[in-house]
Amino acid sequence: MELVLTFSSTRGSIQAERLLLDGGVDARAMPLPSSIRAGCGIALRIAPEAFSAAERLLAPAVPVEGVYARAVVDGVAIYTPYERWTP
Amino acid sequence: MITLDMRGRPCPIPVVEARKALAEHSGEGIAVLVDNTVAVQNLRRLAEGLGCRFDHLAESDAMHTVRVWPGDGVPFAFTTMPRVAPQGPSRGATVLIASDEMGRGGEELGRILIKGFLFSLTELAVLPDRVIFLNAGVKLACEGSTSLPDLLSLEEQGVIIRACGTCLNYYGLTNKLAVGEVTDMLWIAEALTSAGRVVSV
Repeated sequence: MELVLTFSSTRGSIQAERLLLDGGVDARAMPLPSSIRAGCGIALRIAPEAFSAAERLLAPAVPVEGVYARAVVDGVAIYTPYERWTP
Repeated sequence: MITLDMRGRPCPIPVVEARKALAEHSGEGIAVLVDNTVAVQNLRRLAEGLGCRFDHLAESDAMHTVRVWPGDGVPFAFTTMPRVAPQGPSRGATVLIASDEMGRGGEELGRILIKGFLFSLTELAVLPDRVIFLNAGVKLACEGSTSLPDLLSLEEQGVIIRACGTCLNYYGLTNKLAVGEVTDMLWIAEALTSAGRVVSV
């Protein structure tokens, strides 16, 4: 399972990626899955263990729009809202 | 067995010359002296592609002797330059990643877009046959790249991943390639010209 962080703008995603990587969180970019929201955008994948560190790094700088848990079942990725995150 | 001294010759000259020499000396095989391990790997792939036997003796970091000779039970009779498609002809897509950015415009945008593209490759219903990294694109396949898990997943699923040895050397990344194998321009040229289609990014 991975966590997927979404942002309200592409520039926000880029800024968040840099903050996370510089802060030692392995953030991996992916196109925003269409099952989360129609349209374009970049989301970031992180390990669940890195979630609180990611929140700490991003909170002062980039608002997180959504957090989803990504699980692959029978080859299909399923995204569900992450219950341990509140906007 | 004739010996070619290819020390000091840039990639892909050792492979090109070795192939010519093999065409002229079919039957007995050849020995090739090279001064780097990338050349050794390229010669190994040449041998594999031709169905030849291969061995390698490293006398020092800068002195390697490679021998290539006819394989057991494999015909070794060609008189012209053989046309050997890497790993056989490919009917599917070959993806060429020639930069660590996707498209032109914002550099930071291009760098995040290409990571998203590599991840998206892993989610395709039909995977490409090969992904080839060139120029600054090789950085994506090296230690420290956040795309490595995606590329390793592609490789596990049978996608052939290759990075240009000249390019790795240029960026000082020769020992940092973390997925796939090093290759030379001859292999890349064959892969691109024998592919079902080429997707260039």
